[in-house]
Amino acid sequence: MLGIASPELALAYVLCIAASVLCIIYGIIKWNDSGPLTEELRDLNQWAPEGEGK
Amino acid sequence: MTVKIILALAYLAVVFYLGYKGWRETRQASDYMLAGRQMNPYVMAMSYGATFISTSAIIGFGGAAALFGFPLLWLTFLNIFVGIFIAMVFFGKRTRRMGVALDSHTFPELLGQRYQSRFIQGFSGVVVFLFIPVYAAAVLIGISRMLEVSLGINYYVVLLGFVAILAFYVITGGLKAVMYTDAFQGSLMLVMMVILIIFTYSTLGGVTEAHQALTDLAPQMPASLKAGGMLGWTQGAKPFTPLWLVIYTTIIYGVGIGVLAQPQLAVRYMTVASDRQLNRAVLFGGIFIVLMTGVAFVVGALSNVVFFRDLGKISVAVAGGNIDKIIPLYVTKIMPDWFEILFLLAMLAAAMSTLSSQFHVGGTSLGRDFYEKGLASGGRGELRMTRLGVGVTILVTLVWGLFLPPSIIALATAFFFGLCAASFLPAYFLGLYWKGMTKLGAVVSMVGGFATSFFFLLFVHTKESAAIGLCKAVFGVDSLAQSATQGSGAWLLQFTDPNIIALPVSLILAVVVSLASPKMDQKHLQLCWRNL
Repeated sequence: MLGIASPELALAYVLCIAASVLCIIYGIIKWNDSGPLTEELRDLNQWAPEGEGK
Repeated sequence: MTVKIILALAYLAVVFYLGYKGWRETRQASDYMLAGRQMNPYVMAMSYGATFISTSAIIGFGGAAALFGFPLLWLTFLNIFVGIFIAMVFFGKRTRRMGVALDSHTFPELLGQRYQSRFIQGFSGVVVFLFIPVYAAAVLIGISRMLEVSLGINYYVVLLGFVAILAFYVITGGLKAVMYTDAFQGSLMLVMMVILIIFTYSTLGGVTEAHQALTDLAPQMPASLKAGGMLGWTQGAKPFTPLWLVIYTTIIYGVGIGVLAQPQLAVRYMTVASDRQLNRAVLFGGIFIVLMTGVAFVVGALSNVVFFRDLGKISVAVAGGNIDKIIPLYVTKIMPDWFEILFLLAMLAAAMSTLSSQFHVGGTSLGRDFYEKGLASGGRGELRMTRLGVGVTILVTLVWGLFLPPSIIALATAFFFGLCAASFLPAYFLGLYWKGMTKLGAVVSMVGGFATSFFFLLFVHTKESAAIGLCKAVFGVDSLAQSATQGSGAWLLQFTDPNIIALPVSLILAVVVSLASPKMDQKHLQLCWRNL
């Protein structure tokens, strides 16, 4: 396949491209998914009950 | 020559400007160590990628691809899937959140605070500080040799000049300066690699045609490589032959998995303000890496076809046996003249982006993790101590740079990646995901993994043990495995990466000792898991 003699190595070639495409799709789907902001997490820690927060 | 020098100066002017910008924006320790935790996703991804990919990946491993061919594409696959996707999605997000909960400033500090252990932070800091200069020195040697040939400047002048420039902006500007310059340098590398792959495929008539020509070149594979198990560049190697073991265990497994526990990369997860930046960094990183190692390995392998067509010899013969020279020779002899200048700048960029991060992480390990926390010297003058730590790391690297032998680039990279994986990976991964992981489990896993890996490097894995010479001095042989029956499992250990043994040992120790030792305080675990 693709001029590569070993099917295992042709698979490696295809998987390199597939993994890159996976990263692109993941990045697009999760583009605006922020989770909790570092600032919010810090505030949470500051107001934590004694013994739990910083 | 004049054009080369003018462009190099223009490049350095941009680097200095970005270093200055980083210095101006650095006011406190968290700016210096974590870039204020507010980094842009493009800058974060490019910085991660440019730190990850050095001249080692392009010149050292590109040269290895010229020797071994397409099996190295498994490493590219792991670089993208493990080094970007798994790293950012499954390690990055938790590292950022736990890092904020524990107010960690460095990777060793995150481990130390997760396990409430000054020993763990200090030990991790020492391992990083002692061994990162070897990896950094390999990068430094590679780029200095290249500039010596290309610009005709004395090797030692290049070495010292290079270190002085890096010292200036890393010591003053901290991680902000490092990441801004990395992003610029990464962008330059990206442009260069795109041109390289398009040119190579088009000169060989297309993708399939180029691969087919490499397949047809198999009879030209040197006899010594065939004896080691190689069949051809697109045919791979016979399983469990010495060369198969070198390719799949040292190069692919050692480097491909080792990336997950790299302190200079892991610290970058803590530089962003939310998961959004990490999600976007997955996209940028996925594109960046395939264009870096993917292109370097494909072009490295295909260089055999081009050299054979134009010069009647395969790459390793053209380079006189030194695989580190193959990619530079390909650029000089095959690519257009104008490209040579771009390649030179991109290699400067690749080396500087990796070195700056190595110096920074070595410095924070010595100043923050070992001196301040490990020795409990208190928080006075922490920024000054970290800056001093960076200075010491740079000096030690310089000393290594003067003494390490040539052809060391790929070996030293694999050495550091392997040592980090065996020492840190189980404690880091289980620390993020398993509340049952205990302080004693982490200590035993880290020390056990490090000791096993180191024992194999000194006494079993011939490539390192022969170079270091301790095994020969004590036992009179290059590797203890040489005395086993030829072809047996024990005999093959001399070609097998130390981490094939050391990483499972470290993982088993982590799980078994954690199950048998006292659990960690529930309140502390609640704090660790507060943001997850």
